Amino acid sequence: MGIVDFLTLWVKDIVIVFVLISIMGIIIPNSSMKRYIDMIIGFLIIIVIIAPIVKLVHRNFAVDKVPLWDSKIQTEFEHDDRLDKIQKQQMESIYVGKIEGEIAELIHENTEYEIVELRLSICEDGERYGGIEQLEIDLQRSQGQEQISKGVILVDNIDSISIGDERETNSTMVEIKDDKIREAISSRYDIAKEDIKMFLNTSGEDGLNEKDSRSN
Amino acid sequence: MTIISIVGIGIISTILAVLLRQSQKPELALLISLAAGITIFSMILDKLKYVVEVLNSLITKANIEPAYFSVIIKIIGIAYIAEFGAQISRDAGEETIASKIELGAKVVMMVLALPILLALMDLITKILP
Repeated sequence: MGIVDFLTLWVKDIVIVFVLISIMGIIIPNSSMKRYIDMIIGFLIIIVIIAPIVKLVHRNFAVDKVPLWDSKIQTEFEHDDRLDKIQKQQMESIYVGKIEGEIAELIHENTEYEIVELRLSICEDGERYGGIEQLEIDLQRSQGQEQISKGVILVDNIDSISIGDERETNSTMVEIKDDKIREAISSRYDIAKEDIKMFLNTSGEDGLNEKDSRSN
Repeated sequence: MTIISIVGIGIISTILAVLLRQSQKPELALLISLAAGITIFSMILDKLKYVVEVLNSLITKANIEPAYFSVIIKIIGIAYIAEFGAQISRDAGEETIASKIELGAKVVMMVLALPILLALMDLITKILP
């Protein structure tokens, strides 16, 4: 109830009471009883004037803030759906990001591979909401200190070259069945092992192997 | 035309009462005034009922407890009845009985007004922190 409605009701009550009392004044007898009737009518007028103030005190109204409070509620209702959607999207992206970071760390600690790309889909509804449905990890061999120490010059992955209509790519993906890392991810995130797919990016490795064999 | 009947009854009963007093029969004069009072009251009763109904419908439009207004209407009724009885007693020269009737009426009125008084006190205590 807005402050204007509140004041309207209050004034309406007071006006109706005064009209009623003036009508009753005609039928009040002119005797010694008149004083007592007047006193009781006075009580009633005080009640009518005070009762809304009591409501005001108990609802903790701040009269100057009431219009602001009203508009706040209105905007909340207007943007409710959109806010929910945005909030859900943000939550999901933060959640996925965190899981990706954890898996990357897990792989980095346990294997010699490093993550190139990670694709995961999460359950959208049901009891397993938020659980990982499917996980696809693209890996490549870690280009760390060991290889540099061998004196091998590493070349960055060459992007796919296209000449005319023909497309030639030097990146090949091979599915790997590393049970150790699968086990670790499966136990940590409660996913079936079959839902975890890992691919090894073998691009450039053939060349490296050739160079290695030549130097040997 | 009610007013003409009322005034007519009033004048006739007054003349009768005066005549009876002069003929040394004041007890009959008392009965005449009692009868006149009851007749006039019964004549205005249905009109009074209409007034009370209108007031009640007005009360329902306001955001006020209707019980408070019914208390006030009851108090006005008590005042009328008590005055009627007290006047008859005074006419008969019984001032003591008249004052007792008035006292009784005042006490009943106060009892009826107590809920209003309690509601008022309740409101005042609610306002104070």
